[in-house]
Formats: sequence, structure tokens, C-alpha cells
Amino acid sequence: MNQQFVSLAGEVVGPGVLQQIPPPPSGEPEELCINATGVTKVDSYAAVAIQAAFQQHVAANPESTACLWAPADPECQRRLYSLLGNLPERCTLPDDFETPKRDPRSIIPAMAISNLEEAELIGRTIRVAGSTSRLGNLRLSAGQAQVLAIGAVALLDNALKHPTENPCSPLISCSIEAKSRNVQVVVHDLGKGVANKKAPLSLLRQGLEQSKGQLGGISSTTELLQRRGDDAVLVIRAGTAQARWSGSWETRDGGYSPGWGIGLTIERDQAHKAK
Amino acid sequence: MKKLGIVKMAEIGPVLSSRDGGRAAADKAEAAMKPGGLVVSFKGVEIATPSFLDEVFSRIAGLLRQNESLVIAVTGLDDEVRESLDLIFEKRQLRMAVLNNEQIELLGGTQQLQETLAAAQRLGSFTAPDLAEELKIKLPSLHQRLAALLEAGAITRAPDKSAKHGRRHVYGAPSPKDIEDRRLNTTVLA
Repeated sequence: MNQQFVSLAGEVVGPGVLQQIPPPPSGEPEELCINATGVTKVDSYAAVAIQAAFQQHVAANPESTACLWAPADPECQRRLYSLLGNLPERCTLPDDFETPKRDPRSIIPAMAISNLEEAELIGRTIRVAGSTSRLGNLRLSAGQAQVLAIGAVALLDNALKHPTENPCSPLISCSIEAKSRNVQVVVHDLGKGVANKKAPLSLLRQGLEQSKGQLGGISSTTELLQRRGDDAVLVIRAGTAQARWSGSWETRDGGYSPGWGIGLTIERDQAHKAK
Repeated sequence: MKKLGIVKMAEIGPVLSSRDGGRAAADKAEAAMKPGGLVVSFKGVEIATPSFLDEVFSRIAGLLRQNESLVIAVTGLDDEVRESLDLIFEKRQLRMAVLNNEQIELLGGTQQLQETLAAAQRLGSFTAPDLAEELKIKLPSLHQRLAALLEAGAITRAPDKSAKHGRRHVYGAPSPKDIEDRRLNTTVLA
């Protein structure tokens, strides 16, 4: 069986990580090895990108397999394990991998969502798990948990409704970063509706306008964040099109990311307050 | 007061999402409408996406525009669901009566409209001159407020059969009890 290697190193965080999702496999049986031994920091974007790479790989051929070489740094290893959740069938960790204890900061480990009922369950989980006292001072306020829950359901609903040539189900991850206390929801799908079209930036701008006019998932999420006065950032990556909202939208061309990725971060590092 | 119907959103589920889901809920609301109007109960609802609410309340607002004898009231809102509803009402310029802490408030309405509704509730059944006197304002200033409250489904209007001259109307405003009783008589499935 042919092998395909992807190497990750250093801080694997933020929307740029989505660019590291490998191109679709050939369709021949292959083994994908993601070498993350040199990784020192991960977040929900990293978890979703690794899950997307695995899902895409094993979906291409029923004999294909994948494995992850976990970070050597124990803290990062534990964090990635908690963020990744269950790996798809035929995707494994090394045999000698010692399973660490799950971390409650990983509110929703990266997972595939196949229908609206599952998306709604994710919303309920974020609402409850995000404000559990087990999180101590990392706990979200009821309002923050609610807006993240609404955002997660609305963004998953969008991803499920527009499954253009998507080989896998949409993925979601939600987590809290310990040091900054920032909380992140990332939704990603490998749909080609915008990413692989001729002018993705123009399509992305049209999509944002449409969402504003129809009070769609993206627009209503940013509106709710704005009304609450949360310090929040929403980022979209689709092909070479990039958009960033933090009170207002900025769009531009950039490096290619496969599919459609959208990440919402509530930044709590500056103001240690529960709104 | 004429009979009110009730639609219990928690029967759809604790999470209300998607435009398709909103359209289905709007169908239920329309079917549950009684001659007097409708109580929309959110008791037991944990999450409601703005898209869902947009479908439901845009439909209800359309029905209200066609029928001046309908009362619509929203009950059982928690702060978080109310936040989503506030957003929709502001964007779509909608207003609707909300039962909150045994008081009827006008969601999406100005302070002036809120005061007008409170005065209307004190009177229960009234003519425009009655309400103008209660508010101590001139009749022409009142008409716009009455039109807004009618459009919100917060009050009703019917021809005044006792009027001897011209075309006059008698208005009605539901009391919190009218809506609360309706809610207490039903079981919300969560």
C-alpha cells in the first residue's frame, strides 16, 4: 500500500491550519500518516483539520487507512487527544499510545455531524457543558454559552444544507483555551461549492450579503455577538477566499484551504468578565 | 374575550432551528389559531435560532395584518431565547405582546407604545376617545399608536354596533390573566 506523509510542527493553531488539509487522495488504497510529533500547541482548528484529512482519506477507498503520530510534548498530546475525539474507522494512534485523561476544556471533540438532530444535540451540549462548574474560572457565562450554541447549530445547519460534492459529513469542534480563556467553535466541511469555483472571493462576498439580507446563520450569529458586546472574531476560509468579522467584515484572497471552514472565537483574555 | 389557541414550541423540541423547522412551526401556529388569536409558548425551549424565529413570526405578522380581531401573545421566554427574538423583531420591525412576570410587555415597541398598551389593559374594552382620555393625549395623536398595537396583535378592534353616527370601533386588550390562564390550563411537553 502506498503511503502519504503529512508533517505538522510547532504551534498548529488558527484558521491557517485548514490550509494543511491534504488534497483528495487518488482513490487507490493508501495509508495516510500525520506526523505531529513536533507539534507544541493545538486548538479546534487543528482538531478539525486532522479529522477532515482522516475522513477524506478513508472515504476515498474502503481499504485505505490512516494513523496519527501524537505530539511528543505530553501536555500537547493530552490536549490533541481530547480535541480529536473518536477517530474514524481505519484511523489509529500508535500501538504504544497511552490514553490520557479527557480534558473538560474540550467541550465538543472534533466530530462529524450527519443531520440536524445531531447538530441540535451539539447545541444543547455546548450550552450545558460550556457553563459547567467543572470548568472553574474557564466556565462560560450563560449568555456566552447560548450564543455559541446558537452559532454552532446555525453554522452546522448551513453546512448540512449546502453539501456540494462533499465526500464527508461536516465537522465541528468547540473548546476553551486555558491561558487566554478564549472559546472557539470551528465548523468545517469539504464541500466544493465555493472553494473550487472560479472566483471564490466574489462568491463568498455574495454569500455574506445574502446572509445579511435573509438573516442567515452567519449574519444572525454576528448580530447576536455584537448586541451582547462580546469581543469576538468570526473567520471564514473557502478556497482562496478569506473573510474576517470583528464588528465589521474584511474580505481578501489568500492561501488555499479546501472546503468551507468557519471559526468563531469569543476572546475573553482582555476582559476577564462574564457577560 | 374570544377563545385563544396555543402553540407549545417545546413540543417541537428543546432546540428550535432551521428555516424548514420554522416553516413547519409556523404551519402549526396557523393551525392552532383560534378566533381570538394565539398564545405562542416557549416554556421548555432551550435554544431558538434567529432563522427559525424569523419564519414563525414573519408568518404570524402576516396573519395579523389580515385580521384586526386577533390577539397574539408570546409566553415562557427565557433571557436567551428572548435575545434571539429581540434581534428578529428589530430587523423585521415587528412588535408583539410578551407575557413576562405577569405583565404584558410589547417586544419591539417604544416606551410610548408600551405605556399605551398598559393603559389599554387597564381599560380592557374601550373606544379611542376613552383611551385618549386615559392617556391624557389628543385623539389624533392616538391613532398611530392604536394602529401599531393592532398590527402587533396586542389589541383587537371590531365595529362598534352601538355607534349611532359614522364608523366607530371598540377596542379590546387582553389582560395578563387572559393569557396566563390559557397557559396554566395546558401541559407543556418538554
